[in-house]
Amino acid sequence: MAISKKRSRDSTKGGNAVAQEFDNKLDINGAEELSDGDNDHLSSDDEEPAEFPEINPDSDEDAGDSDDDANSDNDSIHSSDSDTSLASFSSVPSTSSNVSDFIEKASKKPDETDYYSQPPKQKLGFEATARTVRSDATGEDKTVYRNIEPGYDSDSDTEEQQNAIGDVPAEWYEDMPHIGYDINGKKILKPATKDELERFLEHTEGDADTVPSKNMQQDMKLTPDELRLIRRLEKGQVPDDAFDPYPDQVEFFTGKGKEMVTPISGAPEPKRRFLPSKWEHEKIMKIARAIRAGRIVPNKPKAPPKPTFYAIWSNTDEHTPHVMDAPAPQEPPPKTIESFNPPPEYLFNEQERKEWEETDEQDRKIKFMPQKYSNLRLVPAYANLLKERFDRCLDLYLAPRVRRTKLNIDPESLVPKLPSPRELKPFPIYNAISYTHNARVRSISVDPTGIWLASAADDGYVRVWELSVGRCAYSWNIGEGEPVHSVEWCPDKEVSLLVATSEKQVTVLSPLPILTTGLSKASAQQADFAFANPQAGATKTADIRYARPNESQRENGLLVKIEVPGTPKQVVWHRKGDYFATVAGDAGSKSVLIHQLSKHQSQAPFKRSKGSVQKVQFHPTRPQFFLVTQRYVKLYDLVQQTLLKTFLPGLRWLSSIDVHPSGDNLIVGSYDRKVCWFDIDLGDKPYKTIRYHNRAVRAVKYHPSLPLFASSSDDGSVQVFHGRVFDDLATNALIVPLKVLKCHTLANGLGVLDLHWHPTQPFLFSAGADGLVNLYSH
Amino acid sequence: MSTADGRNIPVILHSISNEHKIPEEMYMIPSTWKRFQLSQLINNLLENVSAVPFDFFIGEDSAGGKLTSVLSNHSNGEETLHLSYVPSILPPKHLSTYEHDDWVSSVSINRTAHNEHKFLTTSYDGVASVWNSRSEKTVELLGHVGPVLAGEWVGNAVVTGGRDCTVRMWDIDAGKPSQTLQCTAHAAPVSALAVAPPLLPSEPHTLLSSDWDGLVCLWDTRTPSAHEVDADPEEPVKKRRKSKPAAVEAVRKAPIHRLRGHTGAVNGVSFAKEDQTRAYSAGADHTLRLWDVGVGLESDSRVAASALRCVDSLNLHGVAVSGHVDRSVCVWDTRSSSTSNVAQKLWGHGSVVESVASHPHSPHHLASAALDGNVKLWDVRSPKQALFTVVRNPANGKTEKQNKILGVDWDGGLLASGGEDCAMQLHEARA
Repeated sequence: MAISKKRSRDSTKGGNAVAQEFDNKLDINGAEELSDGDNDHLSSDDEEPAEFPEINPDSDEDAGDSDDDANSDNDSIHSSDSDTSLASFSSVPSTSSNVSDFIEKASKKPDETDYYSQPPKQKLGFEATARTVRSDATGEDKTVYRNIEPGYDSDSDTEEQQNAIGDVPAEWYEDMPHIGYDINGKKILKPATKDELERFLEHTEGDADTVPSKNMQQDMKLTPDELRLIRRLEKGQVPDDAFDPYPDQVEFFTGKGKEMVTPISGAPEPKRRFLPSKWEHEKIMKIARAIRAGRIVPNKPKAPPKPTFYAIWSNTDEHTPHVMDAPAPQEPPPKTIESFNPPPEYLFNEQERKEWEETDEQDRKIKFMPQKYSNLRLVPAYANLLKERFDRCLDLYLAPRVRRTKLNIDPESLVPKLPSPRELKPFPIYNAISYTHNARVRSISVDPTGIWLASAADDGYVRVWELSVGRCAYSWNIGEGEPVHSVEWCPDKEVSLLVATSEKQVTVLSPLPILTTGLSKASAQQADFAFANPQAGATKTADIRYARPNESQRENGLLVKIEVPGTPKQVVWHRKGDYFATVAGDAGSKSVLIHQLSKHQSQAPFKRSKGSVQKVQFHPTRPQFFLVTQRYVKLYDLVQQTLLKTFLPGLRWLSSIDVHPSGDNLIVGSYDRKVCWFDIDLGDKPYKTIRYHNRAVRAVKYHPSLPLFASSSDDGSVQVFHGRVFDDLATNALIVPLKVLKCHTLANGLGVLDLHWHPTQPFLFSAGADGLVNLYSH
Repeated sequence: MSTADGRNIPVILHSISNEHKIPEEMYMIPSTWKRFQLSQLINNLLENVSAVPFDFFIGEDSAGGKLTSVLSNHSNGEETLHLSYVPSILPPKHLSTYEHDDWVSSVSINRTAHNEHKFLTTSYDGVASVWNSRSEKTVELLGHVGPVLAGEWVGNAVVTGGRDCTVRMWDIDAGKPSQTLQCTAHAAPVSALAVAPPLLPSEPHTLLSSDWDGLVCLWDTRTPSAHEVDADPEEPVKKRRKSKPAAVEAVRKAPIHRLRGHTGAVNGVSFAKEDQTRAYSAGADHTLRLWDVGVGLESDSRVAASALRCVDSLNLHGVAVSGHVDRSVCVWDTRSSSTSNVAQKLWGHGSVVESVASHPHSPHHLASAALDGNVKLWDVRSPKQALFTVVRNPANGKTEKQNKILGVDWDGGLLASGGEDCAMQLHEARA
């Protein structure tokens, strides 16, 4: 902030002697600068270069007259006011005739002589302002003092500050004719803005002792005091010029005649004052020993400083490149055709030359014409050198280069950390036993005690195997040549029942002859109960009929026949072993049927067809029901009879479903080769989609007690996974692929059609289209 | 390791058994010698007319095929090598085939008959048969409803257990075989039987039976004067189609102890050979349990890696051997106190090891049979490889795939095995 000269504004401090003094001094230097507009009534006093601090009595007379009207009670106040004024005046430097002298003084460090040697002339001058006049009211003489304007140091803001809009952006008033409001709420009009010429002139004339005031939107002139303050601050001095940083020392105790005769303490001088310091000695000895040992060489001449220079011809660039440095791509090395003496096959023949010359310069494949010189000496200067360099530079300049940061990531680290299958034993690893059917096995099931295995095949037979040795213990010819589509053991351990489905028929079976006496009796009774109590099954549907087989069939374990519409392809039991559901895709609205064995009652829970139903599944713990359509898995509440949730696997054709025994997860297999794992609470999108099969997935199954699941496919393989579900809801399920079991051969493009796990052991059973049922053991 | 040709090694040869003893002297033998030359040396010393092949051991371990490397690696040639030898087991030789109508579920060789061999086989068609060594069926025991799953010799009598949950004892010495006892404590098919001979000839045999429900029952073979258990009124009389020989109703007997502890099926039981009061049971719940038969309490339980299919006790104190679903044969040392201490695992079978039979006298030898159709003879001192794999000829026109072996027995000289091929095959395997 360049402030060259400073003049006080008269309007601000009318009675301020300092201001007057400034004005006077400045007037001497450049009175021509003063314009009438800049001065108000008090500056008229300055027209005479009167000897300061004399007060022009004429000008004061008006003030005195005006004061006459005032109450005489104010007199004492005036006097007290004048005292305060005096106090402030006392610190002001005295007048001096010489301006340069003054500036010198003002710029110097304030010396106390400037203050204290100054006679209080103002006091005299002020006293001179009092005069005695005869009062009109009393007719007596009274002393009239000069009307005192408020001092410079008094609250000037209230006086000066007009705009009362507060600290708001000035832009708010940009489009207004006013710039704000004064304290009385009147608009303050926008001052005339100076045009550029005026500003320029002002600048060149050097009248730059102004600062722009945002509030008033005009340039404000700085007062001399402000100017002085700024100057002191510029010099790094204390802003208050009244402060004396170097006062003289006042000597109270020292000096002539003030010497102390008696000591403060009578204690004798301690011994240590007379002894050399032990620690200093130690330090010195340390250095001395170092010098003796040669560790410190005193007065060792310093090595001359190494000259630093830049090896301009050095090949290696010692400067490390900037982090954002993108080096120019290298030009390809010259080829044979660019040689000065290329083999003749590189040279152009007439036609090539003509072609080269005719093509546009931009389109030429070779930018130059190869030429042959017998020796290097004959090679002329390269005419295109400059252009070529220019093109290269242009290329580098115009073609933006991208910094490609190389990812230094070990690809191994991106593979999720899965536990080794070795740690997840036991799981099935080898084919221990094969159970041989003569026809395609469609479905298998293991009884809840883990002793028997039932399989249903295309030749119409349902066979029961002793699973530990692989011997067929019993069989029925249910389908009589037609395929049996599905078979499932009742989960109730108190009875030994299984349900098989064939065309238009659901059959309840029990291998009575091979069972123990108690079990066979309980099984027969369970199936017979509703025949014995026919009133229990009151509601009979027209096309669903429960038939009692004849006695010889019953003796062989054929307990109940249920005629149903369509061909049921799947049967699932409810966990309690009384209800079972069948799915017949071709039965329209009665595609899903829920049968109750104890009452011989069947119902179709879905009045309308829900699309082509693929599979159904009971929830293992809650009264809920999963329905697998071609694309979606729907979860129904059986009590409320409402749709709870729809899962969106994002697959085209679902084939199979199984629900985790804990009831919070399910897996879905699809004909488009994928297996989806859903967390029921996690939303309708799959948690994991597994695609390891090469062909359609036919079956998926969870192990009832161990953290295992498996999927089977038309590619003839069975894949075993570790699928651990944690009790902690925050931890997602851990899925680890464990083993691929390939023990089936393809038959007519069909591979492994069904899977089942042993209820307690890590045994997996797979049913193949090649007529084999395999047991995989660990 | 320089194979120093012509280098001689000082060797001292000991005979483990009492026969084939040679004077204990030091022999310098060339380092290139093999088992054959060493056997020849001993045969020459013994002046045997017919050469006996020997197996050689260094200390207790079988040197086996490594004998050559031991000899050639015997570096300094000064240290004396101590070798033990036993007459080696000859490869089993097929003797005869005993054809059945259905799968053979178990076989048992009568060990008490010294001059004549008798074989008991049980079959899935519900028949237990006794055969002589000329492949002739001497006795046919009809009585079980459904398959007979286990059979054992009780002295000269026979006990069988079947899927009809009964254990039946038969007297076959009389001109007409008759059922003498019927044990009906089981509620599930009887899976295995074990018999312990009495300490005194006057006392009855003790008998263990296990079922698929996890129950092990202890019986004796004393015939009570009256029925100890009421007859099951629900028992369908009609089912006893084949039980015509048992015209006289057998005495129903109650067990001495019901040993409960297994949480799954029990697939095998065995008495400890050295101590009749201890028994082992093999459970599908992955445990081998030790029972104190005298008080009828479980004394110990060992956990295996997989379900056990069978158990037998070696002729070595406290050592049991079991066959597993994971294809292994485990040798258990039940004398030490830790919970799972498989002393050795014998790997080699290709499928579930369905039956094991230990050598009646040797503490090291056993036979095991698996569902892949192989019977293997093992020496527990060389666990890496079986001594022999018995090749069974497919019988009864069965295909090679249908060869599951369900039962094996070995009396030290004869090896009997039977299974899916509906035949018991007899091999000579002397050890």
